[in-house]
Amino acid sequence: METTDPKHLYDTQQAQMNILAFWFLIGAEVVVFGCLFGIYLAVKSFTGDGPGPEELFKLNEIMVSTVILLSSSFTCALAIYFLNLTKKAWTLLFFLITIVLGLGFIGLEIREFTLYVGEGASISTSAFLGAFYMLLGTHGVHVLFGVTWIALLLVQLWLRGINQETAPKLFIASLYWHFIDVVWVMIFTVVYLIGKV
Amino acid sequence: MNKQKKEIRKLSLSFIFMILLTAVAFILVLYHLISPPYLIILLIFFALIQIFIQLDRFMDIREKEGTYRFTSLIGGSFVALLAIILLILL
Amino acid sequence: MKALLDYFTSLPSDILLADVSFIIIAVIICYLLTKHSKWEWLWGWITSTDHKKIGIIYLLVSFLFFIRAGIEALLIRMQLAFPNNDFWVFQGDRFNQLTSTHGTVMIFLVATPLLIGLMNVIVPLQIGARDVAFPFMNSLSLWLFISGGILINVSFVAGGSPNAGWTSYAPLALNDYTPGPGNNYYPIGLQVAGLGTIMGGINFIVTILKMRAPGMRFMRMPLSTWAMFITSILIVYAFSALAVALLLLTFERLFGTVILTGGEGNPIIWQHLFWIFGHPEVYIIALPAFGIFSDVISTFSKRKLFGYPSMVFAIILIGFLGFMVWVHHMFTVGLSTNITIFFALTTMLIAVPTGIKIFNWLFTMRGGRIRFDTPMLYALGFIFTFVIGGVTGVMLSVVPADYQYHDSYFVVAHLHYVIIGATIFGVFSGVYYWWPKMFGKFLNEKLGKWNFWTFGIGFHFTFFPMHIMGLMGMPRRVFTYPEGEGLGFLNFISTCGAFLMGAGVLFFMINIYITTRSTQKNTLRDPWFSRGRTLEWTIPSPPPPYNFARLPLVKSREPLWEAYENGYKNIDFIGEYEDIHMPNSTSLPFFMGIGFLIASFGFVFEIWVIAIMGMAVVFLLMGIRSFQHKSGIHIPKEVVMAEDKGAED
Repeated sequence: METTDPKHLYDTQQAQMNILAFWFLIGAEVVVFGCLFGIYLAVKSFTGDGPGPEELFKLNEIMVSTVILLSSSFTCALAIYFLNLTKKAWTLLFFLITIVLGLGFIGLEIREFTLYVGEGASISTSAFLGAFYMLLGTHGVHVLFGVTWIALLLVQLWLRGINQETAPKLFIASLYWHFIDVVWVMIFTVVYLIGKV
Repeated sequence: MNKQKKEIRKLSLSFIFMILLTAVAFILVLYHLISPPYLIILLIFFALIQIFIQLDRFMDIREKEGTYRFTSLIGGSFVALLAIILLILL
Repeated sequence: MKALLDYFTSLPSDILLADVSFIIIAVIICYLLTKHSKWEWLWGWITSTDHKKIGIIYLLVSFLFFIRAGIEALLIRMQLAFPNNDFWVFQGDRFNQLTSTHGTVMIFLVATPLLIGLMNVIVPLQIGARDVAFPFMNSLSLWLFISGGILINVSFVAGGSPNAGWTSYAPLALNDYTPGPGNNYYPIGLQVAGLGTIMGGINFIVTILKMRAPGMRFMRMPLSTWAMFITSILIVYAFSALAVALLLLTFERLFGTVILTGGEGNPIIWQHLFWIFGHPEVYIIALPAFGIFSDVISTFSKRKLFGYPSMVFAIILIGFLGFMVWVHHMFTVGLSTNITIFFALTTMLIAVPTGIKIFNWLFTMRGGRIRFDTPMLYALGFIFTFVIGGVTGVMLSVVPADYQYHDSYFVVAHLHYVIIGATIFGVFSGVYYWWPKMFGKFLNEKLGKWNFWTFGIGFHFTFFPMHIMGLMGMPRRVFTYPEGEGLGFLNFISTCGAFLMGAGVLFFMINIYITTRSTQKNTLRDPWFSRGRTLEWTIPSPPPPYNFARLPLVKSREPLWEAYENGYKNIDFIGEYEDIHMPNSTSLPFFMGIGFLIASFGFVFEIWVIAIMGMAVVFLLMGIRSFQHKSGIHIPKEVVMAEDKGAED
């Protein structure tokens, strides 16, 4: 197994450029989600014959999702902490926990959506619901992508160990994961909490 | 080793603080403890604090080339904010 | 067989013609490739990660789209040549398809990628880099652009083109009013192309931030590079907004959301999102052209660029203000007065930095020893044209007046003055200017002048009358107009002008053909009469794959010119000779493009199996890419040294 001095894990020019590029991608994603929030806020009151946010959301269950996603962000940060110490087993473990929590979040979200659709609140019921599903769906797809991505990287980590090639990749994936969490904090606040105010 | 312990403590404290903020916000909404306009401002304030913690503690935004990273985020937020404002005013 | 024949005879004549010409061209190309056994050569280009080759493919493909959309423009002008005209099949819906695809293709698949292609070739050379930051992603951008372009371009023979205008306004673009796959092409094709453009933007940002040669500070970067840097930032933010707008339209058309409908939702949301992208897009296609003109004018006037810092400042300010003016496309929507006034003011404000740039260009020329070669002619033509376009722009920003101009030919005239005046003139100028650098040959000057004068005069004949038509009340996007309104004569002049422009483009194509066939080489480093000022003229023409055998040391804004002034033949290269690491060529981006193409057809026709299959291909290839070792190839030091010595002799 190949290990490198932790200080030099991200020192290659390519790694530095990849990380910087990813920050600009995050800048782009801020606009993407900002616009989705804009759409949602614009049509929030256009509930038509369907339910509004007040009747629809079950805050207790959303709270569970939120805690799960926040925890996954924490375990992800821990994984990166161990990555920087080049402790492979711990890194693997905490990333695995992150993946499991992410999958749990997706499961809860799917459950939530099927529940709503069962209550007659589908994507074409009203403009509010359309925007809601678009915003939440885009975020959900991001989570799903993140889970798959991290899983693939873990296979590489397992096979190749911690080195200058795998470490920056995992670090970038962790940035992505935290960003998803940031978006969720906004969704939780703007959609769910303020929806209930 | 001391430095590592400190690091772990830093991460854990950030996490606990975020969970706390979420819980407080949740309770405030659940029991309608504050009147709506102030509550909304407070909730958004809480969210912004959490985002800042994520960026600072978990995403190391202040590390090398922090200026570029901030620029990217601020640019994106600026465009997003304009979009949101105009769409709300619709 | 008979069924096939029946199908073909049942097609409208224009589609039949297009099908037949598709087939004939494809057969000819295959025949030529096989005859000269060039398939391997073609594959080499397709899989290349060399930024110069990618840039050239960008230029070539977007030029093909330019021809296509240009032919559409000629068809539009033929239909409008006379009052109550019935030309071929282009009335009503077919005319709408024509104008919609003309606009969409010209903006998204011609103007943007032409400039990206040119900058792909030039920016790394200007900053003294051996490649872009992400060669793989560069190739992926290219193939996503081509996939999206193919989708938009084949739409009219496969289910009908988008016909709701290039802005695709809701609710017209929704299922209720325009059912069928035609308008699905718009959001899905552009989504794919836009994704590629975002990647390209990020790539350029990081390249310019991290790969500059030693000593190349920000305030020493050539203006083209500065312009491309700011443009890339605009791309990253603006195209993200577009991505959301297109996603929204896709949801409306395919998944039945009701956000944009008149009754349950609000169609203005589309307008906002589209123009949040749409106005920065104007600067995305104008700023690089400004950069090109700055370099060209300074070179051909043999003078230092006047007011370099103010030029940089103006670019940044234009980029910033560009995000705060979009509502001027929506004055007649009836938003609140305060919003309207705010955006009218920012719009007027943007004329200030633009004016600064115009004056700086003029002052650069003042007292210079000006050569009137084709690139310079285009630059001068640009200044003249763009000032007219800018003035009409300020006229349009006056809100009460805009209520009169809105959706009339006045707007059509304005936008063509600005976009052709800046972007197309800029690309012609840049292509003539850098052609010797790219291929080691000059484009023919005589044909170049014919190209410029026919295109330029044709341009003004085409579009100047449109101002007057607009003021006389002719609305845009109509396929005919009544007799006796005094519009016939103006429209006829406009049509004649359009054909003159067509002749100009023809001259350009002949020029390329003759130049490519000729064996006369000009492999000088600095072919423009030793007037070069920036780094791209310090290396051989065409440059070796690694561009710089040794890295240059940049000590001033115009290193080459400074070296000339001090009596040297070239700048100092400080780096040692070393083994040079270059990226592998790769076929993955090409196949990812194909995957996106397949998926997109699935989405357009709502056949989910195909859509999922296509996306599976894309994700599979992404996975493969993630597992690949990025070894690259090493060019040994000795080879580099030998080549460099050979180039000097």
